[in-house]
Amino acid sequence: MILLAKHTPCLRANEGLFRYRNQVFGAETRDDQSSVRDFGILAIDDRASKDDTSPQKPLFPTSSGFRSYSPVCPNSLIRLRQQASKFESVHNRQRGLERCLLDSQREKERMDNDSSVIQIRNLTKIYRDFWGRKKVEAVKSLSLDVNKGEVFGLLGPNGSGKTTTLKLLLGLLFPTEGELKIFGKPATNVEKNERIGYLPEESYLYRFLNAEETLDFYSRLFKGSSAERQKRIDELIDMVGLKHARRRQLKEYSKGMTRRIGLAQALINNPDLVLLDEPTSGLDPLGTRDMKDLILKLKEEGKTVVMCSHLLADVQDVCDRIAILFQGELKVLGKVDELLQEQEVTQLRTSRLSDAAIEEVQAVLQKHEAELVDVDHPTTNLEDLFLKTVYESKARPGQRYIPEEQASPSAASE
Amino acid sequence: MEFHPEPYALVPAVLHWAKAMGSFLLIVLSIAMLTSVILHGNKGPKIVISWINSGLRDLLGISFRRVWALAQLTIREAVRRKALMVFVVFSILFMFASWFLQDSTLRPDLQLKNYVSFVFRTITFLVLPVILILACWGLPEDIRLRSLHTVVTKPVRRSEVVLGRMLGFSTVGTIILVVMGFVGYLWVVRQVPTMLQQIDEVVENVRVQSNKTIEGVELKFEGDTLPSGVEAAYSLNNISELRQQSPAAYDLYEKALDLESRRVLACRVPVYATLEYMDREGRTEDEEGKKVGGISVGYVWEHREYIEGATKARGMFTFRNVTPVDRLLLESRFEAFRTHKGRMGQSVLCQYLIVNPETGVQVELPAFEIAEFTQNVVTIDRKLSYYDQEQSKEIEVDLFDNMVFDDDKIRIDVRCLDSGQYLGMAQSDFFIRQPDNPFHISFTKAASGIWMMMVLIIIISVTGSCFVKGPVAILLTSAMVVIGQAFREFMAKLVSGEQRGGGPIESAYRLLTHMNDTSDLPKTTSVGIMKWLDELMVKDILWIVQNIVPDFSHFRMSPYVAEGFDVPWDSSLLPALIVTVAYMIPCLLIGYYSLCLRELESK
Ligand SMILES: Nc1ncnc2c1ncn2[C@@H]1O[C@H](COP(=O)(O)OP(=O)(O)OP(=O)(O)O)[C@@H](O)[C@H]1O
Ligand SMILES: [Mg+2]
Repeated sequence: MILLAKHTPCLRANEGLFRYRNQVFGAETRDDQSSVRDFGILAIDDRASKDDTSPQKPLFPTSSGFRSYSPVCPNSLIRLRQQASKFESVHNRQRGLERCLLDSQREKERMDNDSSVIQIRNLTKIYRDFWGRKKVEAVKSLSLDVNKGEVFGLLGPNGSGKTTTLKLLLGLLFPTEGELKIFGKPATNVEKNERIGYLPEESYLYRFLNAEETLDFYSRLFKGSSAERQKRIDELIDMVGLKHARRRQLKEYSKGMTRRIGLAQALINNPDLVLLDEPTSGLDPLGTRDMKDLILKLKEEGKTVVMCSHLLADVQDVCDRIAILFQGELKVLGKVDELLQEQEVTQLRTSRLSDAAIEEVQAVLQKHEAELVDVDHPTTNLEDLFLKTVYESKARPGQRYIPEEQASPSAASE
Repeated sequence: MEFHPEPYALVPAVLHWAKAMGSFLLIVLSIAMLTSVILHGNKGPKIVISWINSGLRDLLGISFRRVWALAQLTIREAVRRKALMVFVVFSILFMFASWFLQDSTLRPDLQLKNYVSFVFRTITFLVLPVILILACWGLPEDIRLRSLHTVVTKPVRRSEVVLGRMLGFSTVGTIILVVMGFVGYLWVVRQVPTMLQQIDEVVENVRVQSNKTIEGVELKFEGDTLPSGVEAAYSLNNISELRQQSPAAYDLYEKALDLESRRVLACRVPVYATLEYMDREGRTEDEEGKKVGGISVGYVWEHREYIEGATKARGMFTFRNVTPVDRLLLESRFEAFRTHKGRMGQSVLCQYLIVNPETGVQVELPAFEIAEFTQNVVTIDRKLSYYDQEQSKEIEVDLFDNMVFDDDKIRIDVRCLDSGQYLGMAQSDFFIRQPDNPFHISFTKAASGIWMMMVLIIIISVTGSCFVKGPVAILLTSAMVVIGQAFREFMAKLVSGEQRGGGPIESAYRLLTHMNDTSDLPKTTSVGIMKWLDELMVKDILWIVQNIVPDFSHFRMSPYVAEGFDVPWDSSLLPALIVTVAYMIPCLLIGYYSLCLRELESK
């Protein structure tokens, strides 16, 4: 049996979709009708879900604000249940469920539009030893999407499964469970690689080649005339600033230089999707700066970028959306600006005011007559969010972290 | 060394391959299906089929551009990892080789045999291990260092990775082989001049003498220098005339021919015959209608069979597909087995007879003393004569017009004229010698034998390295090579049940009970079970091993060169080529699927 929490403001209009069997039920909030807010607990009968022949009708009164939607996604109920059971307290379970509902809503949206470049569904990866014994569960039922044209950041402490996720995406590892699609194709498909660039965690390049030979080798794995290739190679060597060392073997390179040539290698085919595993590690401040510029430039060109990084400031600068993993589990997923917004506080930014004026402003504000320059929620920085997520996850293992500011007061009153 | 003159049976070989390959594929497929069904349940077969589908698509989508890029990478890697250091070892070996190999007590041709064997052995033992280790190490290292990650995330098919590796290592190996072969060839040729001096002197003598002393006989030598005695023989217009007019010149000519035949850098092109025997009563079949064989004189390792002298016993050599030429050059290498000392200072007498079984005409050629441990060279003119008993006169016949039967066959019989002596022969002991090829041709062909063996080793190594780590792949491949070289015959014997003492269980039983291998086991049930198990192990498992391990003996072509023969296409080069290609296809499949089905993550 699954409990759905009392309806909360967090479930905004049309967002609280819930799929059961072939039907999707949604909670609708109409602010003018308080009766809807009172709508209570949604119960789903386990037996009903097993019985295929039972009439597909809502298990709750549709009159009181739920509406049925067209059919989608049969699997999500089970997943929902799995995820919901991880939440311990009723309070958390409610919030968790709401989150799950939100997720499945988004999932549906993304499945509907073609804009998502990467689709990860319920992905699990277990590393096993030679005898098939389980060593680590590096990724635990991860679901997320990356949309076209966005810069997506994958964060998490060391060993949280970021690299594993990327390798799974590239078909270097095989998922233990779940599905992966890149450009709508499975990860093992080779043709999709025409449009992908990958910068590995460390530069796994051929150390006996020099920069030119390296790029020439990789470029010859793609179609194109030799003149074009040569042009591209020159461009890239120039871009990553290795002109002076283009004829030296990679084994003589410093770490940053290898990173640079690795980046050039990743961009050799002018890819639509770039997967960067810690792109800034080992780079000097200038290089880091260039890397950020480059990522933004790629975004401008309409390319999709997925990056792992520990440099949160950089991530905050360039990423549109982030996901934070902790021990293989997705803890936070969302738009950077939204995640960093503190809902509870409102920040006023005005032109310079004297102390006396401030008091006045406060009075004036009440009357809405002040010259407001900016009304905003103050933002934390990503570092705070990251640390909070990690500490919270450590304190309560197995739970999805939900930033406090998104929890509603009414849910807490349960 | 015994040569196998039989041409390689191409069609049965290909059929056998298809059979082995088919059963192998079936076994693999059923295992795959089974595991897939166990792992994935209902969806199992579907998954396997999708793998096969994508495999086929990948194999069809192979792009040579990418394969060559990968091959080039492999070459660069090998070169920069100092694989070419083998050349240093090679040159050191060759710098000092002649110190150890020179042995002036040996006859020149035998000495040269040593040199040729040395060259080929050195090349084989230097190139193959280096290439084997390189090829076994390449891919696993690539996986361990994860440099393969940046490659397979490009649109590179795994089949291209395998092929690229194979091609790359083959190219490296080819370069090494070509350089070494060339140096080896020059080295061998440079050892020869001193040995050849004496031969050339004699040939020159013939030329001078025959020019001077014989008149009316047109002697044609091309150019100022006489390239070789054999060519002289072919350019002399009429040997029998020479013989009549100037016996001295003819003697010299024959001597030159003999020396020439031993001329060490020879590349003789033999045409072999089929051999049947006639027993001492002149019968070719015994009472039961079985073909008679020669006599065994009790040499265990001897492949020759013997005919008794001064009886009707004969060895009958039937040559097929003969085409008319002005004269036939016959070369033989018979063994004599003496039951008494014989005539002092003389060898056993032997005679050729040209027989046309259709007309019954039989032309006896002059008897000659066989040269032991070396070749006898006899030329036959196209114009022959024989003494007809009934008409009591010499009758002229034409070798090709009158003696050929069945359209294109010539039968030449061999008999021994000394009573109490035996003449041993095998199929490869007697042949028509066609105009020689230059020595470098047989040398190149034998080198190509090493080359094909190298390619096969590379194929196996790369395939092995797709699913195991470097050291294991090295062990695996070396084991294949050793089994394929040394134990094949033994296995074949075991499979065919010729080996005494039975299979593994029976042998163990005999060992434990101190029972020797000639005494029979009691016929009890347990012995029956034991034998059945043995049978199963030996017949099926060994059969599989035997069919999996390539027959590396096909690649040994250097004995031909050492013995001064051309390397025949149909009984040596072709099978080697077939074996190489036959392994290429399944290996590529195995390599491809191992790379596809494994995670390219070092563990
Ligand atoms: N080849 C492997 N075999 C076994 N376990 C592995 C392997 N690779 C990674 N792991 C384990 O999987 C987990 C996730 O590793 P992963 O490399 O994905 O972490 P990460 O998030 O990239 O960390 P980092 O920030 O340090 O790069 C870790 O516990 C790691 O030990
Ligand atoms: Mg990592």
